[in-house]
This record gives sequence, structure tokens and C-alpha cells, in this order.
Amino acid sequence: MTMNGTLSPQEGDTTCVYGKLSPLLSLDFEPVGRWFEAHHRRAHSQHSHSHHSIEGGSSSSESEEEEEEEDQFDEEDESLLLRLDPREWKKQDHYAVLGLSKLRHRASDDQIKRAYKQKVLTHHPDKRKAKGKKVKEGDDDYFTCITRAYETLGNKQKRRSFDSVDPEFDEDVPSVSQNSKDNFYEVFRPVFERNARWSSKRRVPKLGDENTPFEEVDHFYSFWYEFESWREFSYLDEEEKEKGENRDERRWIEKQNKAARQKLKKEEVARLRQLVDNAYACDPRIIKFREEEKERKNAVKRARQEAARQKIEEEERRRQEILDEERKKKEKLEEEARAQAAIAKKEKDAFKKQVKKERKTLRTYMKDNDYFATSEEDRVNMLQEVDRVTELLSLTSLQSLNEKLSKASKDSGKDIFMKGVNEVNEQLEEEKRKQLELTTQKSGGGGASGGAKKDWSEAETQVLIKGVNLFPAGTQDRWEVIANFISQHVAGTNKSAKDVLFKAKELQKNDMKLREDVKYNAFSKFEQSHKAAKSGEMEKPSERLETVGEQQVRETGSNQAPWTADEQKLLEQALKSFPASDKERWEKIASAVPSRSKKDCMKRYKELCELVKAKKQAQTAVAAKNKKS
Amino acid sequence: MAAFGLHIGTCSGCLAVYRDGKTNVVANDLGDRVTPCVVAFTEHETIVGAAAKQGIIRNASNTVCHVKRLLGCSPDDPLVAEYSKTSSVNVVNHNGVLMFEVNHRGKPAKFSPTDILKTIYKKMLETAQSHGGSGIQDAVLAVPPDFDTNQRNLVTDAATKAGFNILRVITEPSAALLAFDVGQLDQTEGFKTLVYRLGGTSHEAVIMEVEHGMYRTVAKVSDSQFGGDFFTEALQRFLMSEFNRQSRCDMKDNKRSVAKLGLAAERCKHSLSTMLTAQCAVDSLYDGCDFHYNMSRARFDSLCQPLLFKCTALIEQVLGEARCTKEDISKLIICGGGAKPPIVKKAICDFLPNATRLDSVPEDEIIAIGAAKQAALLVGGVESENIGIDKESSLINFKFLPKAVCIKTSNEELEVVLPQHSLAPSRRQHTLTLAQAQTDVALEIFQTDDPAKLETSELLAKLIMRDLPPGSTIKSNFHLKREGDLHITCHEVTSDKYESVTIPCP
Repeated sequence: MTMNGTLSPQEGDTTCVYGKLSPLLSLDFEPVGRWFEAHHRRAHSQHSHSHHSIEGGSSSSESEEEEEEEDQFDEEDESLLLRLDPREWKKQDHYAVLGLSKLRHRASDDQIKRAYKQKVLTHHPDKRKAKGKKVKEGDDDYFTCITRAYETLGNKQKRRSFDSVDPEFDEDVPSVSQNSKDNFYEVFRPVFERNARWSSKRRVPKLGDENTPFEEVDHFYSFWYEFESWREFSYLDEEEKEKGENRDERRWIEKQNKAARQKLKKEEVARLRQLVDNAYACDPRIIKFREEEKERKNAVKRARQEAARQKIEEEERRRQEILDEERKKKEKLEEEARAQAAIAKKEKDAFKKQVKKERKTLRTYMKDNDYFATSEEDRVNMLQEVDRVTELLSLTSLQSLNEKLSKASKDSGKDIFMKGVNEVNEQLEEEKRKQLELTTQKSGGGGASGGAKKDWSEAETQVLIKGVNLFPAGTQDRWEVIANFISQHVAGTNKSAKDVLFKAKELQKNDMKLREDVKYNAFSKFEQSHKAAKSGEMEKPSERLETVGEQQVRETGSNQAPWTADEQKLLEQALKSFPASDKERWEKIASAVPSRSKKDCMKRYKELCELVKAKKQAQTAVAAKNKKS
Repeated sequence: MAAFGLHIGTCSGCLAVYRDGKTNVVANDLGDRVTPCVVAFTEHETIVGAAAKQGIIRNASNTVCHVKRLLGCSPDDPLVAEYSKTSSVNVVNHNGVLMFEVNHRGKPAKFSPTDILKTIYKKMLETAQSHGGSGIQDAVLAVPPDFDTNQRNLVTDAATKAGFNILRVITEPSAALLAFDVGQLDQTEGFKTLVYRLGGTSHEAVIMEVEHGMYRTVAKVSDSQFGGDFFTEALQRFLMSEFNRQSRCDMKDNKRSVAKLGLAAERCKHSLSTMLTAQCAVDSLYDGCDFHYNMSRARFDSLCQPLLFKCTALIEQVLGEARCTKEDISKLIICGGGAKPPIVKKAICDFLPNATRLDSVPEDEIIAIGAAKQAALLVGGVESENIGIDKESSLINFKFLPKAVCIKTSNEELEVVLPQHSLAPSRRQHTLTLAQAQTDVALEIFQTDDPAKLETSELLAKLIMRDLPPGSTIKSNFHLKREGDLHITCHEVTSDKYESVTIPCP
């Protein structure tokens, strides 16, 4: 815009600012219409709005706009054009030739057209000839290249194929490395933006950033994995189909080209695939999502484990509780038992003490009364009596005796004492009788050992031995047969098979010992038997009055067989009845136990003492142990 | 590449397509260019459109219409109660969300307004696909200007779920403007346009200012208590009294007869928009009596007359809000299906005698076509999609120079360099050629509201250049920066002298 009639400055005027521009108005507009789009785009692309476009003259506005866009065109560079070889047009960069190297694939059709027109204006051979420049003849001139460039870029199809093989395009695919992992967005964003232009679908999803939600990231990768590229490589065809002279040749060329294109296309697909794979491998979001997924799974697993563990713990605790309770109960019971034992012991002690005391009272009483004795012998007897009474009388009777004695006078005291003595003796007699009855009942005629309750006569035994020898082991129903045999030969027997078996076994056992004894005293025996035979009056050979044990005691002076319960009872009874003070105590005891000698009894007594001692020791040890635990 | 424009109104929707440089309305499967926004649920299927509207007589309780009214409403909104009065569909509050309760396939079912809307959009998508293959259906949605962000989002979601790819949501008045390419061909135009829309159940008037080819809403008034249905009702009442007179029976209490007559009246009204007389015939309307009446347009106009003041009253109101007179409005767009009767258009045109009415497009298709044009713009430019607009912000903010920037010429006049309402940032080149004898120059820069009056102008700066070669040309560059500063540089070509000044903006 030109203007005439400008002011001349007055003297002294200088360039200066007098006022301020009024502040800008801000108005809201509907996002509608092409002008809005244009302004909006400008506002975003940081271009300042050229005011010429709103200028009044409509003709000028267009040219002004052109001007504005022209700064995107290249500077005139004739050297490039002069270097061009028209025969090698296929290798030239068409954009550069038209001066669009800055815009390249972004150049609009309109811009290409304008650039071409501009080039024609300056480089047309006629124009140059007019300027007096040298021009080559015909197709050799570089102007052909310009027309070729426009032919290629002006045609949508051709431009596409040229764009596809744009030499400026960076085909680089970032590798999977630490760097691309650390700077994922910086490394991959430009690559994806670069490659997005090949997409045949519009609206290529953006790479986004670390805050992009999972769905979008997922969409991004699914889009790129199914990327459809419009890129094609027909521009690189070795030979042009049109050059074929006949149909067959053209067909052949077409086939060749197709194969080559397909190979390149395959490579391209592989390249994109590689790119997406690499990005996927490096994407920190994918890693994060994966980790989150894993974390979630782990959390679930952990929760389950925790629950199981708690359950087990709970069970364990419950069981422990039950055990504790049981233990406590047991302890309590033990405690009670112990207390009872202590009480019992105490009572026992007290009882013993009382007994002792009573005994002492009796003894002192007797002593005081000089044992009611008149003679020395009498005294000794009385002393023995007193001892026996004190030992054997029970506490209550002793007490009553003492009481009676203390109340009674000296004369009557003796009577009372004697009565007590008699009582004791009677008691003893009674016990002894009972015991004897019991023993005789139990052991019968045979040896006290074993459960053979039936008496075996000598005849029976003889028959038995005979029978056993007659019917050797292995005979069917041997013992029944023997029993029958016995009943046949001995009148009035009622021995059953069981009895027979029992007796036979007993005999066998004794027999062994007998044999050994026989070995030892073969001679003496022979002599004895000889003597017996000589005397011929002593024993009836078929009768036996004593048991095996008695016989042994009589013969050897000791019975090797183990003590039976009956013998034991007899011994205990004897021990009780014959006090320790008795000089011939053991003889008496031995006589009380018919099947044992004096030596046996003493031995047994010692054994028993030791046994009791050991038992006590063991008990104390156990008690101590319990206390410790 | 096809791009669609979608407009779903309260009563009916329209779909337009842009293809190969042309914008056209897509007819639906029945061949209608406008589809009624009615959804009917039956024993067997879901019906959308005219069939559903026909079935309303028998299936009233399962037919949802006017769903747009309840969009984004909470269940205790007074609108809901109002809606329930007119509709036989059961509206329920389901967990704080508004739901329609209908019988669908023999079972009771609940649908939210968004679901209904989605069904309608699906129907539209079918129509779109029947027109142009099954690719991505890019579409621009047109919504009423009083829709808030939530409602816009609901509409967008429904359309997206139905299968459309929504490029942008625009307002109905701006779509109407775009349909006539207002300001699009010559962006220097600056004027005010009134967009009056008379829909089925509501009407609104919007004054839009067109500046630099862009549209700005100056004032808008909407009223949901009046619409095209009122004309139908007036006609229906008239026909009812006529039937009463003819057959001597009163059909007021029979709902089905009333509904039948209503549909007949609507058809009759549509016919009267194009023809001078229309037959209104209903067989067995009530009690076995047929009804037939020959309606003339004149009679219909006389019936409508008392209602027309409502339209003009609304326009008056919007003028008052915009603080401008009837004369300021230079262009008038009447859109909406309700504005089809000639009497309505005439009334409005008479009310604004100075405005030229744009009427090359049928009223009920204007908005859809405008939306399709916008869609075309968005689809065409590859770059534009990189910029994008937040769906939330319905309006975009631009900055303007409030006053014109001028320079003073030797004959004490102002020459405009940057006119009023120049967009910031902008640049302007200005060339000064000095007189042969002149060797120095003074550039006085003013800002003013009215370039014709030098007295009221404010001097901003002076640029002085001395000792210039005679007959020199000075190229001056005026650069209005984004922040509001004005930077001026002068460059004398032959002597290569520079002078620059920056006028700050407070």
C-alpha cells in the first residue's frame, strides 16, 4: 500500500511514544467456519496474523497471502537447478527442484502449483533466452526437470509414490536400550509422529505421556500393531511398464516390478513392526501396568496365604489352649494326690507315734509292775509276752488294754494283761489256722506250684508217666488219650486232659532238676537207696507225702524254685507272728513255710528287704523328678 | 470422504452429508429427510422414527418422545413434572437417575434419556451408513446454545456410543449461519444476523455478530413454552369443533380419538405449508363416524394469527438484550420445522423489514446442513485435527484491538493502518513514498474510535526520520503482538535507515 502526502517533522521533534495503546478486547467466538479454523490454526502455530488478509481490496488479499506463504518456499538457488541432469530426473528431489524442500510432504497442492508457476516464470527457456542466458536444446535443458517435478508432484498418485520413497524420510527405528528406556518419550515420540504419516487411517493415536490411562495406551499399541500403511514403492520400479514393446514384455516387467515392490513392502512392514515392538518393550507405562498387574495378583495370593496361615495359627492356639487346660487339670490332680499322700503320711506318722506311745506305756506299766512276775523265768516269759503283745496288738486294742491296765489294780492288771496276751495268742492262732486252711486248700496234696488243683495220687502219677511214655508227642489228642489211660488203670480218678497236661509239665520240670541232683549225689543216693532197701521198712514206694519242694528242702537244704504267692503269704504271716527278738525266729518261720528251708526264708527276706528299699528309692527319685519338672 | 452433520431436535432430527464439495440431506429408510425423534418399545422390537410416531395411538405408554427436554435433568427437576403431564410414559427416579419405565419385549425395562438418545443416533447412523459405506462416520453435532457442558457431554457420549465419531459440537445458530455461508466467502463483512428457530416445543432467537468471517453470539433468548405444536393444537381444536358440528358428538374425552385427530391435524398443517388447501380426513374417528374437512390456508392462517405475536415478542426481547434496533439486523435466518407455515415466516419478515432473509434451504434442514459444512471443514484439513478444541470449551477466545490505529496524512486526515477489531496478533505493511523535495518524515500514530474525527483521536507516538535521500520510499511494518503491544519499524530502502518504536499496552 502506497501513500503520498506524508508529514514533515517540525523542528526539535524526535521519535518518541506519547500514549499507550488501549488494552486488547477479548471476545468469545463460536468455533465454526473456515475463518475461525484459519485463525485458530494460526493462533496455535504461533504465526502472527497478517493483516493484509482483512484488508479491503479482495484482489490484493490473495496476493498478500501468497507472499506470506512464500517465505516457506526456498530461496532461489540456480546452482541446484543447473546441476540437474534431465536424464537422471528420476533421481532428483522433486521438492527441491520446485523449491519446496522445507514443506516437502506438507506442501498443499495449491502450493506446489504456485511454486511450479514461479519456477516457470524464471526458468522457462524463452524467458532465459530473452535475458540472454545460455539454453540447451530440447530435453537436455534443466527446465525439463522442473516439468518432470511438477508432473510427479502435481499428480496425486505419482506424488504419493514419490512421497513413499522420500529420501529425506528417516527410517530409523530406535533400538531397545537403556537410553530409549530412560528417555522413552523423547526417543519414540518423534519416530511415531514421523511414521504416522504413512497411516491410511486418519487420526493416528498419540504416544501420550506417563499419565495416559491404560485404555489409551492399549489403543495406541493395538493401532500400531495393526498399522495400515499406504506407503508403496512403485517409484523405485527398475523398468517402466510403458516401455515394454509388446504385451508379453509389459507383463513380464509388471511381474518383476510387483515382486520388487512386495519385497520392499515386506521390509517396510517389518520395520514398522520392529518399531512398535521396540517401543512396547521400552514403554515405561507398559512395564508399570505389567508390574501393577503382577502386584495385584501377588496381593491376592498373599492375602490367601495370610488367611491360611492365620487359620493354622488359630487352630494351633486352640489346641495349645486345650493342652494347657489339660495340663493344669493334671497338675491340680497331682497336687491333690500329693496333699492327700502327705496327709496320709502324717496320719500314719501320728498313728505310729501313738502306737509307740501306747507300747511304751504298756512296757513301762509292765516294768513298773515288775511284769507281774514272781520268778526269773516267769519274768522272761512275761517279757516275751509283752514284746509280742506290743508288737502285734492293734492300736485300739492296745489303747483299751492300757486303759484297762491303768484303771486296774496291780493284781487285776496281770489278769487283764494275760487276757490281752491270750487274746493276741488267740488272734494269732486264728490267723495261723486260717492261713493254713487256705494253704492246704490251695496247694492240696501236690506241690504248691501251678494251678493244678486236683490231687495226684502216686499211682496216678505213675500211670501218667507210663502213659506219657506210651503215647509219645505227636499222638492225636495225646492228653485225652493219656487221661483215658489213667482212668482205665487207676480206679476212681477223674483227671481231665487239662489236668494231665498240667501235671506232666510239672513233672517234666521237676524231673530236670531231679536228674541234675541225681548226677551230683549219685553215690549217696545209691547208698541211701541201698540202706532203704536194706532197712526195707521206711517208705512205701508208691506214696509220697511231701511236695516236691518239701522233698527238695529235705534232701538238699534249699528249694531252688521261685517263691509262689502262697509261700510268700505264709512267710509274711510267719514274719509277723515271730518277732525279731525271738532267737529261733528263722527256724520257726521255716517251719511255718513247709516247702522252704530256713536259709531260703532268710534269703527271701533279704531279697524282699532289698526290693522294698529299691522300690522306695525309685519312688523318691520319681517324686524328685516330678518336682523338678 | 464423507462428513456428516447431525441435528437432533426435541421433536425431530436431521442428518446431512458433505461429499464431493456438496452438502445434502440424507433421506432415511422411509425416504423422509427428517426423522421424528420418537422411540417406541414394543413386544418385538425398538422402533425409531415415523413408525414409532404412528404407533403412539396404541402404544402411548411405551413411546418416548421429546427426550431432549429431559437430557441432563435430575429426577426432581420441575421440568420432569411438566413432562409427565404431557407424556403417558412413566418417568421414574432410579437411584437418583431419571429413567423411563416401559414394557419392552414383554418385560418391564428402564431406559435413561441418554439410552433413548443413543437409540436415535443409532438410527441416524444406519441412515448415514446406507448413504456412504461403513467407514468411520465423522460427524459434527449441533446443539441448542443453552446446553451446558454436561448436556453437551451426554449428547456426545450418546453419539459416540452409537458409532459416530464426533469431531465437534457446535451451537444451532452458528450452524444455521454456516449453512448459508454467512461471512465465509468474504470475511471483511461485519454485520448482525438474527437466527430465529421455531421448533416443535420451543423457540429461540439469537443475534449473531459476524466479524472477520467468525461468529459471535451477542444475545440469545429461548422459550420452551411455545413451539410449532401450538399451531397444530389450534388446528386440532378447530377440527374437533368442526367434527362436533358435523356429527354432533363430543370426542374430547376419548384420548385415542384426540390423538388420531392430532396426527391428522399435523399432516394437514404440513400440507398447508406448501398448498393452499388440504384435506383432513380421518376414518372412524369417533363412535364409528368418519371425519372429513377441506382446510384452506387462509383459515389456518386466521387460526395462527393470535399465536404469532409470541414469535415477534421473543425477537423484540432479544433485540432489547443485544441493545440494538431492528435496523441493525441485516440478515435473518428462520429455521426449525415449526417455522414452515408461510404465515410465520411472513410475520417475522414483516417485523424486520430491513433484514434480508436467507431462505435457500428448507427450514428444518438448515442446522444439519450447517453442521455438515463444519464437518467438511474439519475432515478436509489434516492439520486442523492436530490443533483440536477441547470439547468442554464451547467458545474460543480471540483478542482484538478495540480502536483503530491510524497515521496522520499531510492534509490533516487519518489513514487507517490497523482497523478497529483487528485480531491480535497481526502484522501490516505500509509503504510511504515521499515527495521529491522531502528529505525528512514524521509519522504520527493515533488510535481512534472514528477515523473521520481527528479531534477525538489520541496521539500514541511519533516516528521521525531525517536526512533521507530525495524521493525515497519508506516501508513501515506495524506489528500488533499477541500481548497487545504495537511495534512499528520504518525502513528506508535506498539509504538503509531504520527507525522503530514500541507502543506498550497497559
